[in-house]
Amino acid sequence: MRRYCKTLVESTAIPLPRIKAGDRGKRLPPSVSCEELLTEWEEDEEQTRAREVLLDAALKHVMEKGWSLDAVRAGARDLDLSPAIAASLKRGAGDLVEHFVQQCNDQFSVQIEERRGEFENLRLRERIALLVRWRLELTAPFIDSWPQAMAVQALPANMGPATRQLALLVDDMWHAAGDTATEYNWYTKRALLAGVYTASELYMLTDYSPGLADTWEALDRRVRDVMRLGRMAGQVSQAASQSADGLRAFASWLYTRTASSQPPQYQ
Amino acid sequence: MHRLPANISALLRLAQNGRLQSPLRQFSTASFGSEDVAASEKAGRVGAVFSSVAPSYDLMNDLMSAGLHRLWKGWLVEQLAPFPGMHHLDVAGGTGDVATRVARDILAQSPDPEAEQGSVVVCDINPDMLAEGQRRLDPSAPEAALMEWMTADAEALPLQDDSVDGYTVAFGVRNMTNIDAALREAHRVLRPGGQFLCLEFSPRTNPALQRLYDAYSHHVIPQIGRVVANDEQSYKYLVESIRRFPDPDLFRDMIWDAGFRRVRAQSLTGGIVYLHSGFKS
Repeated sequence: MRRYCKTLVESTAIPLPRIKAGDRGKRLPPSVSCEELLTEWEEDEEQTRAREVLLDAALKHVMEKGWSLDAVRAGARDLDLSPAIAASLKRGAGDLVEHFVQQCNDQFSVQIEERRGEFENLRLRERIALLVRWRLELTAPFIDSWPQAMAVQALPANMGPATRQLALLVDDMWHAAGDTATEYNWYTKRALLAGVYTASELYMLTDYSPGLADTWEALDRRVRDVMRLGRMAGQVSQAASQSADGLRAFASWLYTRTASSQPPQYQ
Repeated sequence: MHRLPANISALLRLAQNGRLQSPLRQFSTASFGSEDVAASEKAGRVGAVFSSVAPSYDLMNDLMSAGLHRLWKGWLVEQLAPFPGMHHLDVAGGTGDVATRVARDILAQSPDPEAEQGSVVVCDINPDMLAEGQRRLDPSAPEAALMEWMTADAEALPLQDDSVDGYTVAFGVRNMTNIDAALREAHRVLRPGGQFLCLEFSPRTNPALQRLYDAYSHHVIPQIGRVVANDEQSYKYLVESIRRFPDPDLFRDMIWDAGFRRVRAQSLTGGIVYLHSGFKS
């Protein structure tokens, strides 16, 4: 484990900037009042667009400055804005990472539509593996600084939005893979795929093989594990329903026995 | 949040402050504590108050707020998020309290001592307050190199358009005669994207706190002023001027009307103090 952590840190080509206080997003103010209104500004369409333009500009500096407010400030300078505008991001670097992930997810949805023919005839296992691979390939250009982005996502303020994005992503993947069932294992399927995605994402960070070949191999193994688990879960539930049938039969037998031996007494 | 139409909020503001815009300004009145004085007279009266309290200003702040003003100012600077190369303007900066923090933060953010560090301009209408600040500042401290001192009126700043990245005013707005003019001036000197931050006492606090707070400010603060600074009247003014300041929501709309966007009001310490912020878009 320790060796792994070490390689994780050393794997980055650039020294990772430390997460500074401002990058953590806003802390609570020095008091908590009863009304605690913290009246936030509403963001109208114009401001949302301005924010997206700013974050787009910031992404061009992420390779150099990391997932930080420094990158946002550099982006603001490109747009001829005061770097002070970086303070308008409510979750600091969290907004930047969220914006990038959202961009990748949108691009991924487009890709699914365009390249449907490439995976439609594959087996389910291969289909899922290919979809995860496509999505990870969108993150790959930022692999050097991605550990920092993942650290930013793991901060309490950013965890919610990051989890929501991941949930929507795996949902898209299952739909693209042709799984439209809404049965009892809807949640387990999604949770398992989220696990596969995150595990492969982590594997990718320390992968030096040409074309990330090791990552795709590991991804195949993970998907196979999950499919086996899914089958196992199916067997377990089948067994459970059979034993539940048995139990129900026993209960009804017991009921008829007790009911016939001791008829209820009415006044 | 619901915003009033501009003309109604302007009327409300007019009613609340009891003053009119120019050209009728010389006939209008401005609030001076609980009394109304002619608008043209307010600046002089306020000037006299601050000249009188300047030497003991920071000690009094500590005593009156039980040290809380340090937390408020710390929060202000955290929201500002200073960065290397920043040009900052601290209006009504008086003894340079906020400006020193900003300068220190700029230096702490700068990895490269050779690069351009930026500047922090302390602006105050009262030269006595500035003199007190300059006296207290250690000239050999690294932040001293960034700081400049300037005697100027916040309603007519001798700065070019789009020249600063940040504009702060801590406990100064309520002493200004024409708040709208000061806000417009702030909008003028800020670069697009620059941040405006205003820390100010609020006339409306948490209802549970209101009576205790009123008793404290009307009875205890002037007494502290009498004992420590030997100046009861000036501190009476300071307390009364808080009560005459626009309501936080109204002030928020005033900032919006001056052209700022992403405007918000944060209540600190049960609504005793509000931090308003906005960005020039």
